[in-house]
Amino acid sequence: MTGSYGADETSVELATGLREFFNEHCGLDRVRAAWSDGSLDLALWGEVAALGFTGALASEEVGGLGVQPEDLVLAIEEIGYSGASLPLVDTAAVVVPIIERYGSAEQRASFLPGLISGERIAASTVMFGGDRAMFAAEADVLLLERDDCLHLLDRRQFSTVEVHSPDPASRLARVSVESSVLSDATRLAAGATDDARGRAVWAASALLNGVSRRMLEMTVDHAKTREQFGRAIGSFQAVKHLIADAWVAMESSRPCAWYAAHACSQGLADAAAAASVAKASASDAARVVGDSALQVHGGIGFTWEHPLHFWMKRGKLLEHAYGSRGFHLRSLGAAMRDDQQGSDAVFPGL
Amino acid sequence: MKIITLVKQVPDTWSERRLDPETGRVDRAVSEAVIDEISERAIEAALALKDADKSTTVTLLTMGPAGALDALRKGLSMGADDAVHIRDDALQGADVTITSRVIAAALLRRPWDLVIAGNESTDGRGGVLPAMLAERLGVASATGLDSFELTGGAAGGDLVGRRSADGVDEVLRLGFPSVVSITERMPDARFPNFRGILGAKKKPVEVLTAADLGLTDLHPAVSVVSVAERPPRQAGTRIIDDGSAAAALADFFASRRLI
Repeated sequence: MTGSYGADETSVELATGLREFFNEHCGLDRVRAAWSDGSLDLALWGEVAALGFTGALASEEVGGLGVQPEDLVLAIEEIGYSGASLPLVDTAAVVVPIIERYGSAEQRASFLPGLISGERIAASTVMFGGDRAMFAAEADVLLLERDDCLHLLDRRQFSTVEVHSPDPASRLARVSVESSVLSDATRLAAGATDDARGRAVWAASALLNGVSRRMLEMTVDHAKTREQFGRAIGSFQAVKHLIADAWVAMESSRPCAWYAAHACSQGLADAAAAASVAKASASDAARVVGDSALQVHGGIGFTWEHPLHFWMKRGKLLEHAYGSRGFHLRSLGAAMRDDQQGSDAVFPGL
Repeated sequence: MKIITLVKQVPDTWSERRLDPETGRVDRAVSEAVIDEISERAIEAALALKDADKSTTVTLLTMGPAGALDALRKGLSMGADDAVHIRDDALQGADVTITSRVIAAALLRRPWDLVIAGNESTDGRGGVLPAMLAERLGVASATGLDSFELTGGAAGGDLVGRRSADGVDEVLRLGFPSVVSITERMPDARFPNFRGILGAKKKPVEVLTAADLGLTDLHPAVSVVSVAERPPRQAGTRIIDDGSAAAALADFFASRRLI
C-alpha cells in the first residue's frame, strides 16, 4: 500500500514505464491520426495491453498483477498526458476489477481472461440514467447501469448508435438493450454499482489531470519561447499569474484523485465523498488550465492545426463525463446537508 | 547459456553534460543519470537469446555509485534475471585499467559463457573496455558487432557476428567463453512491461566492494592533471564592403596563412 501521494516507488515506476512507452509510440503524428480518422487505434491498444495495463488491478489468481488502485493513479495520468485515446480506463480501472469482485463464477470465467489479455475491449456506463459510453460501438463487453443494478453484457446483447462527441478521437455511442436481455444471469452482485461509480470517477479524474498537465506544460513552453515587445511573454506578470493559477488548480487536484483511489481500495467511509472531491477539482482544474492555455497561446489552440486543441477537446469531454463539477459539488452538498455517511453519500439522485 | 551483460549509468545525452573542473570527473549533479542506451541494446541482445532458449540466464553487471542501482532495475524490469553492483567509493574516478581489473575480477567469481557490452559509453567513449576484459580473462573477443547469432545450439556452438569497418563487411566466428561488444545497429531495446516492473524489485542484486573482489592496490595508469573549460568563441570580424572588402579579405586570409 502506498503511504502517500506520488511517493511510492511502484507508482512512479509504473508511470515512468508507461510514459517512456508513449513517448516512443504515441507521438503527435499518432494523436493527430486518431483525431483525423476518428477510429480506435487498435494497434496501440494491443501494444498497451501487452504491457499488462489492462489486468493491472486484477488479482494474480485471475492472471492480473495485483496492483493497488492508488499505485495506478500516476500511470492513468500518463495516458491523459500522452494524448492516446483508448478505452483503457474503463477496461482496466472499472470493468475488470468490478467483474472480479461482483461477478459470478461463470461471468469471471467467461469475461476476465479476454479483458485482462486485451483481446476484448470494455465500455461502461455506470452513472445515473446514463446511456452513453465512450467506445461502446467498439466494445466487446459493456457494463451497464439499470435501476441501480449493474449488468454485464457481451456484444450480442447490446446495440449502439453513434452520437456526437466533442472529441472526435473519443467516440461516444448511445447504448440500448432489450429489457428481456437483463436477467439474474447478467446482473452483478449487490454493491457493484456504488463501487463501479467510485472507480469510474477517480480514474476519470486521474485521466483528466494528465490532460491538464499536458496542456499546462505546452503553455509554459510556449510562454518561454513566444516573444512580444522583445521579451518572452512568460516574463509578463499577467501571463505568469494565469499560469500560476492554473498550476495551483492542477496540483491541488492531483492528490485528490490519489486519495479517492486509496479510499476506494481500502473501503474507507469517505470513499464516495473523496471521489466527488476528486472529480469536482479535476473538472475545475481542467477548465482553468484549458482556458489559461488558450489565452496564453493567443487563441491558436482554438483550431485543430495546433496540438493544444487535441488535449483541450479531450479535457472538455472529460470535464463533463462521469459527473461534471456541478454534479459532484451538489452531491457533496446534499451529503453534508443530510449528514449522510459512507456509501449512502454516493452520488445521491438529485 | 549464461550471459553477463555490462551496464553503465551515464548522464542523460539529452541534457547538459559537463566535467567538474576541480576533479576532472563527470559532474553527476548537473543532469539526470540514465541507463546508457547502448547498454539497453546489449540487454536486449541478451534477452533475445533468452527468448529463443528459456534456459538462458541473463545477469547484469555494473560498476557505479549507489544511484546506478536504477540502471540495473531498468534492465531487470526488461527481463534480466539478476544483477551484480560493484559499488565502492574508492573506485570513484577509476580509469579504464582499474575498471577492467575490477570487472574482470567480478567475472571470475561466477561461471558464464558470454559477456555482452555496448561498443562505447556515451560519456567515457573509450570503447576499449570489452577488449581489455577479454585480454585480462584470456578469452576470445569480437568488438563492434552490428549483429550476431548463435549456431549449433547452446552446447558446443559458436557465435557468428557481423561488423563493418573501413569499407569492408566482416563475418567473425568465435567460441565460448567470449566477450562481444555491440553497436547501435542492433535492435532497439524492448519496453519493460508492468509485470517486469513489479517483478524487478524482487530480483537479487549482489553488491560487491573492491575488497570483496580481493583488489586493494588500485592505482590509475592515467590521471587527469587539469581540466579547463574551453574559452567561448570570439565574435567574428565583420567586413563591410565600401570598396576595400576584397583587400581586407585577402589580408585576413594571409594573416591565417591560408593564401
